[in-house]
Formats: sequence, structure tokens, C-alpha cells
Amino acid sequence: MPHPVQLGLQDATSPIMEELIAFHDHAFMIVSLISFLVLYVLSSVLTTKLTNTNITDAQEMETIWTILPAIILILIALPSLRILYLTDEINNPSFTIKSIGHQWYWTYEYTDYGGLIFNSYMLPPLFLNPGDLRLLEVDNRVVLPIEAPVRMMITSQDVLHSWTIPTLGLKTDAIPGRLNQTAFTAMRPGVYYGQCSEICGANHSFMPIVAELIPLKIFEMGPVFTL
Amino acid sequence: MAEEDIETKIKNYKTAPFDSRFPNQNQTRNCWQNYLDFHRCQKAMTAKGGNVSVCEWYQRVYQSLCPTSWVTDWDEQRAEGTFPGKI
Repeated sequence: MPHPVQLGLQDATSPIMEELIAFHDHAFMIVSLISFLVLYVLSSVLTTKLTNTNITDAQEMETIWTILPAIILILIALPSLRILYLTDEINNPSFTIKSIGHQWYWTYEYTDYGGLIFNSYMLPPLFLNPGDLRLLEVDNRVVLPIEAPVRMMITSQDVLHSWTIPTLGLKTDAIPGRLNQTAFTAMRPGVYYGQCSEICGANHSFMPIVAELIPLKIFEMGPVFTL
Repeated sequence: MAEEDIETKIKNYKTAPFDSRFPNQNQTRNCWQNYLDFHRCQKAMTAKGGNVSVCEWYQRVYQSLCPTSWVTDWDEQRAEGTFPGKI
């Protein structure tokens, strides 16, 4: 759930996103420590009254400040690669839902059993209800089950778009003529927002994605149409 | 899984399963291949006078994976005779 003056990532709703947040914290800590160290050394070198005009070599220090960064890079790379391979794991999805990008709305197709196809347009500001989020609400949300592996197939009907839901750790480009696959397992119910993430024309900022995650039993009861 | 009857497999269909021929993110070929396989199977079974319902697996898979606009376009192309694939 995005909130005003948010500084960090949104809370995770899928296990992969939890891993990504942990990795971000780890890498950010390393980067902050290095930056702080460099800033400290720089300021102390610039403000000291000590002068020594006879330093010619410093082999030991040079060795250390070559080996240590290499070790730090390995410490960053290992968790990163672990997450990369986690995202590629083979999971047998329970559902396949298609998301097709258009200028400037999304079409969702549920065709595993029968066919439910609908468009999802942003609600213009005049149509918002009190408490709704401006530029984020849509008329028809994509409804998905929790605690079940879901496979999303993303493509586009015209230009490049990108389908994303940050709290699930998902961002997949919608490319015309290509069918991109992404999968996730959501852990808790709720309404989660994302915005088109590839420039696609005048209303690129006005084609959000809203996923409504509901318990599996209710999802299996089938679609309920409201007018 | 090889012991399972195709009829039972179709009956227990939930969604397109993982296909090791297409392990990566780009599933375009997966959709295309299943569309071709269904129509080839249908053509072959009709020619031999066999049971077309065994081809239903491929149909369920391509319906799960392929955008309906692609399927509609391909169906029109087949009707016109301009379909690029070999069936």
C-alpha cells in the first residue's frame, strides 16, 4: 500500500518480495557504511594539521583495499544470485490469467475455464468515491486468489507497456507480439496497486493496475458481476 | 503421469502445466505450438475418422495461454488460407 512521504519499499505481499526487501536492506547497509567511511576519511584528510612529505609506498594498505572491495562485492552478489534463481523456480501454477496492455487501459482474460474478459480503465477524478486514491483506482479490478501460485501472461496490443505490482515484486514488460510470463504467490488478501511502467503515450500515467486478492474459496465460487 | 489416460488428464485440467520445452519467460512459442498442435491433431483425427476429443488437451492449453485476439486473428487467417503455420 503506497502512502504519502513514503521513503522505502512497500510492504511485501509475496515471499519473493520479502527476499528482495531483505536484499535491499543488506545492500543498502553496505553502501551506507562504505559511503560513511569514505566521507569520514576524506574529511579527516582535508582537515588535519599533520604533514608528512616522505611517504613513498604502502604495499600492505594497497593490498587490503583491493581485496576487501572484492570480498564485499561477493557478499552482495551471492544473495542477489540466490534471489535471481528463486524467481526462476518451476512452480506448477493453479491459474493462468492474461493481461493485455492497450493505449491506455488493461484487458484481463480468465480463460482456464470458459471465458471472462474485461477491460480495466482508470477512474477519472470526477468519478472517485470519498477515500479513493487519485490516479490509482480502476473500474474493474483484476481479482486473484491468495495462497495459490498464479501465472500471469503479459502482452500488448499496440505499443510497449509494463505491468507491475510493487508489493508483489512484479514488473513485466508488455511487448506486442510476445507473451511474457510471470508468476507469484500472494500471502495475504487485500487491494494492491501498480502503475504502467513503460512510456506508452499521452495517458501512460493514467492506466493503473489494481489487484484485488481474495481467499481461494471465494475466488473459486466464480465471478460476481456488479453494475 | 504417462500412465494417466488422456481423458482423465483433460478432465482434471486446471491450467496449462509447466512445459519443459519452454522454460523461460518468453512463452510466445508455447502458445503458438499448442495452437498448431490442436489443429494438426484435429485435421489428422478427422482424416482418419478417429476421436477428435483427444485433441482437447491442446485446445485447453492454448486457450489458457494465448490472448483471445491472437486466436481470433489466427482463426480468420486459417479461414482465408493466409495462416503462416503448417497445419
